[in-house]
Amino acid sequence: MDDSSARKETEQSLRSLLRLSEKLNSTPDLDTLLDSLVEQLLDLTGAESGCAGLRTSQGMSCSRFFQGPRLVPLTYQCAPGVGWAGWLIQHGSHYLTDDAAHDPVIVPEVRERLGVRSGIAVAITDSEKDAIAFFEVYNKKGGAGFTNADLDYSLAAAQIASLAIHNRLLYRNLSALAAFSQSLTVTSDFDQVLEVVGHHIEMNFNRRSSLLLPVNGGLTARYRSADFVLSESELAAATWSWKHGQDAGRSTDILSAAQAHYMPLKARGQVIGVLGLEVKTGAWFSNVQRQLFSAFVSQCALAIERGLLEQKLRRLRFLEESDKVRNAVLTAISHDVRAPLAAITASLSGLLTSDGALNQEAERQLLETADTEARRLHRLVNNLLSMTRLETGASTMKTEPSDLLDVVSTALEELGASAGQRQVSFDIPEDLPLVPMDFGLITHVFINLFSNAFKYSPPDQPVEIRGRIMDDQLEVLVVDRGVGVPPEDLGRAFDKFYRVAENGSSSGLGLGLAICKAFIEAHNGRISLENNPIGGAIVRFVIPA
Amino acid sequence: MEKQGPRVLLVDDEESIQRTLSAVLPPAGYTIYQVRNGKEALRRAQSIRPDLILLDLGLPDMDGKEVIRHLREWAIAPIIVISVRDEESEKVSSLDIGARDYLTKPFSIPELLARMRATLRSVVATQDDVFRMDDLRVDLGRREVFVGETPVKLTATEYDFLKVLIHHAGNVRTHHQLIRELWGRTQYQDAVHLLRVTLSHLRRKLQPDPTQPRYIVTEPGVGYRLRTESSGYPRKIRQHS
Repeated sequence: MDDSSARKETEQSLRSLLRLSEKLNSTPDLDTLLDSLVEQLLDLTGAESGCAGLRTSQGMSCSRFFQGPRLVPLTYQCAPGVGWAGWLIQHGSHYLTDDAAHDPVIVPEVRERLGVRSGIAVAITDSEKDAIAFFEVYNKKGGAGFTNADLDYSLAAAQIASLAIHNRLLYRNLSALAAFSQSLTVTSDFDQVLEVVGHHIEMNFNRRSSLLLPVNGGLTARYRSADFVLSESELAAATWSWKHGQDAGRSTDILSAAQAHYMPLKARGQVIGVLGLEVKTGAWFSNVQRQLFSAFVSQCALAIERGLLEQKLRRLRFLEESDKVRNAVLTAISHDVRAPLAAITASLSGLLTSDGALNQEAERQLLETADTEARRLHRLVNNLLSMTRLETGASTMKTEPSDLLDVVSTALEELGASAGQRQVSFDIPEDLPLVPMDFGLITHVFINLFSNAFKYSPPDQPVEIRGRIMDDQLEVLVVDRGVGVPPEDLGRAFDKFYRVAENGSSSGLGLGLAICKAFIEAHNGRISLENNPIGGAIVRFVIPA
Repeated sequence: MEKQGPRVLLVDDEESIQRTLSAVLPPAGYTIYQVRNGKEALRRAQSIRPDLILLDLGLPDMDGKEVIRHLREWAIAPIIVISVRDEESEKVSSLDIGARDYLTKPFSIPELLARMRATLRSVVATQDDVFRMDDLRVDLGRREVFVGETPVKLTATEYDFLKVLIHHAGNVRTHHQLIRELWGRTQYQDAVHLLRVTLSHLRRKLQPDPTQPRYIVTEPGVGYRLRTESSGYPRKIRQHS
């Protein structure tokens, strides 16, 4: 070859390399990148066919086989030591042969499929000389074998590709990490957080995992991939890791009989849990992946710590709310208990010190007042008790088919004297069937509703109770001819401690209607309050029949 | 020797109750003995042999139900439980263990006296007995029921139910006890339903006006009680349908 044609060839090759560099650096995804690589290499070396692939945890994966410009539908996984790609993993750099027919290393299937006679295989390595990808070119055009120049250019191409591939892999991993972080920020449910972690680990590192957190002095698996078995020995390794803040299990010196590798999750210097990771023998982690993994693990630790803190926060808020309710109740008690007590004390002390100054009528009045107020106090205490029992879950519903008339009559009897002088009219059909309800709770509802009706309507006005079955529901109306409810308060009437602002005389915690609502809703029913167009208020509730 | 009224053993550690009852029971004709804990109760019951025991459940040295259990082994005196515990489960279990009746604190004195009278009365359901309460008249010998002057026709089940209630007039009977007495051992759930339906019909037949104070009182979650004295609160009521 003379000088000028040699120079031309060199120029051509350099241009080719330049084109390779441009293409690789502008390509968005790894597959296109590898295709461009093969394409340029075929041009650069004058080869007929070739392939390229990436390093996986199992070895080298090749799915881009080109015959000329055509993509051949062939994929091959080369475990370390198998085929040229596998050889590259173990021995590095490159492999060259011009007698593929007698080559002991090449994968026979590949040789047959592509009719390989000669070829070059080159490893693409990262900064630590670890093979992260490879390419192969076969059959130099013209029948001759590949030259040293071809090899040199191939090695140069590998260098160029190395950076591009390394960047793409890094980018892919960063995207994975970003996606992971993103998923974590939108997940607020703690168990979901653990699922997200396990899922991403499986997706990105193809490993099954388990997340163990301390509960009551011991470790419990809060998340587990399918098939991740946690036997006694696994738990022992995990517990050791937790207690000592170091890795344990497989591929460590501690309890290495375990199937999985356990690493402590640390946040702010504290071990908050343990991550168990399936170990795949002979599996390979690139350095980038190693870094990614430790980034994952830190994120994981942070997410778990956040989850635990959120749980604590929720508990604190609950306690705060409970405190608020307690305080509100205490304030209400202070007022609503003192009022009747004051009346009782006044009446009785008046009687004790009257020394015969009062006549029988006056004495009787004082005694009756004390009696009435004592009953009011009793009802108040019952209301408080009911509310507390319901809220703390101390009482559960006992639903039985019950007679509405029975419930109403029982309520009126319990109201006793306060109901004594009042007119109550009934509009309940004789054949009304038994309706499933908690007898005690619904009696309580009526006690409160009647109590309200009696309090807010004049004594000479009747209170009416209507009941009927409508659309598989029991509908009950309690109608009074009293003052009604200010329209703007209709919505709030069932709130705790709400009370119609009346001229001075208001008693009974304001829990009455709130309790009715709670009890009716416990029956999957609904309760509402509206003003009667002809005056007074109507309370309506329905419960499933 | 002075004739003594029925002997009542009052078991309660609360001074206020002791003071109140020791003030109102003697004028009502009772001779009372007061103890303040379970051990004392068992001891005095043996030595005094009371006719009736009023027992609080919340005693300082043992649960009142323990006392009931012990007493039931050898004492024949009926026990009325008086307690602040208002949970249905407490009532039912106390009655199941052997108490005759259960009164929740706070209670009114007239109510207590009525229950005590009912408990002490020996209602013998012989052929010649007639039960009367307000307008209700039941001739157990002739199996006839009248409300005022009007005869009332009851089914066999309804009559038997009424008869059982009369037999324990004034005291509360649990669903379980009623079912056992009416039908022996049967499927509890179905029996309770039948009980309710029977009661519903019985009430309507005996008292078509639901506004009048009822003869048969419902004790929610526990059972039923046939009232033995006129209820204290007359009510002005109308019905329309």
